[in-house]
Amino acid sequence: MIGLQRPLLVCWLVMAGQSWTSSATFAQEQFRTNIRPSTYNGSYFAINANSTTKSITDRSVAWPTLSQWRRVLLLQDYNPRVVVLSVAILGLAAGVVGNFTLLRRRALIGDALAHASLPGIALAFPIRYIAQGRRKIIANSVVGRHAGRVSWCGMYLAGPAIRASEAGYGARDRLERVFWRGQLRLLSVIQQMKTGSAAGLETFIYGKTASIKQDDATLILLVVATISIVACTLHFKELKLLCFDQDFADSRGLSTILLRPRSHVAGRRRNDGRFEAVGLILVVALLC
Amino acid sequence: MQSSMSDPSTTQAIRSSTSETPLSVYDLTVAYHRKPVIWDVQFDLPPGSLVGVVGPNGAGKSTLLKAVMGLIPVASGRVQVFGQEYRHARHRVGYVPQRESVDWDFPVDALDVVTMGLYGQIGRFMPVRRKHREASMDALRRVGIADLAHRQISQLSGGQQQRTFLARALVQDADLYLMDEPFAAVDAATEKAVVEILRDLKDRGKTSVVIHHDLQTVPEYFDYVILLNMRVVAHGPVEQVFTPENLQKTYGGRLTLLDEVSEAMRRRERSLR
Repeated sequence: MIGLQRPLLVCWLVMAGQSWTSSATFAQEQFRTNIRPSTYNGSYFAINANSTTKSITDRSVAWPTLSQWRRVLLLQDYNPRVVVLSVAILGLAAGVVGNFTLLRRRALIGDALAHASLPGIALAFPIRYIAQGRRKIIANSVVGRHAGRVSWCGMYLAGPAIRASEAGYGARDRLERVFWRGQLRLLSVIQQMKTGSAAGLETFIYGKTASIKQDDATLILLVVATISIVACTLHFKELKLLCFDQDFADSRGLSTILLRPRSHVAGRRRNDGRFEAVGLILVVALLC
Repeated sequence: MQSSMSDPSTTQAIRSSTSETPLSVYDLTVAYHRKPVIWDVQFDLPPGSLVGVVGPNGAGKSTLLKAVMGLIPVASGRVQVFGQEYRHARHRVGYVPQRESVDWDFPVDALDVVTMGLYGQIGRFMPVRRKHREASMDALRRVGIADLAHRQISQLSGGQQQRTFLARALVQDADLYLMDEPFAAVDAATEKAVVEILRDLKDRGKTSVVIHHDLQTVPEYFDYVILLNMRVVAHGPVEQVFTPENLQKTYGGRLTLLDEVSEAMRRRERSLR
């Protein structure tokens, strides 16, 4: 069974690829979907395919026709195609990088990075609320999200420097405590605001897979995932050594300068586009 | 071992490593959380020697090796490897870490582990090639476990794992070897094999610094010794330094340091008066 998986996947990809090229562009597809609603009635598992001839109270379920099967399995429609492929790529990249973070016993770094975007949002939300009035702000508060994460990463990277100075020992811990506590305070403020619940904070946490667009998929998921996978492939032997024997890797000078910040940066990049796709919880799960 | 004397690089290695001091440590102090672990450690090693580092548990032996390689921050002092900073002489130093530092369940085989010694030479982005694997096989042959090359590392015995580590250091063809307890958890046969390898390295003009616990075998194995208990109690050729008085000073609790501190205080008080 295991041996069959790969050829089957290749066959599926080839067939799907052929059907996509023949099905032309997105615009045409939309056009077709709109023009011929008889082939697509809004649901793949058609509830009564011949709805025009039967009574409206007839709720009998018919098996999908062959063309409907084909449509679904070969991802001929825009939305399933974008969603399935982007989430698959996400899983792939998260798996590749997540493996290394797990082996280095730093699996929760993904969690920390994910949470680190919250203070930025929490800070950006009231500011934009005041500046622009009632709007669904969360969708475009990218700046806030990044601000939170960048500040956390800055703090993380500055940590050793702070610690290295003898007097500053423990300063980093204090700093982090203020950081996390501050974010909780801000969140509780937001939750008390009238628009707080309407802003879609829960989609940030649980994700909103179906709403992902092709632009998101190509730009964020595909590019970022490719970068992470290529970086991991090129550094495979260094990462292997780092996971296996960190002291030795350090003595070779492999990790101290390049790999440690790099793997964190890779983790950060990977997370960016993904909350919208699968949500914070699943990203954390994928990285663990 | 059998190929060592016919190695064309042997004479060159001897020349290059005899010309400079392999390791000089000046006034080295390392502190964990403001508590000093080693204090004012200072010594120079003669080239081509087999150096034993001896001291009780918690005396800072591993810390010393790690500080030499810059793996832990140094509070003060200076370390020079072949007259340079460590990071410039990194390619001339081989390291055998303590057994505990390794993730033994990691899915690598013995050959992979030995090849890791060559990653610095192979360079970033470059794949491991056949010549690297062959060099690693040679190193495994030297430590006598070539037949176990494709065994997963966790399936090897303690002694075989230690030999694999040694092979990884050997494949680097370094001039200075730093070994953190290579004799820990090994049987008599492995210990003998390791000693032979160390002597072979010495014959080829390389310097090895070995952390060692068994006092009985120190005069037999090493020709230079560093007695360490937070600070260097004594260092020098074994026959001069490895004396009962010095050992008493090293192992007689932490009194060494306190004695000297109180002595210094007394002297200072006297001078103030």
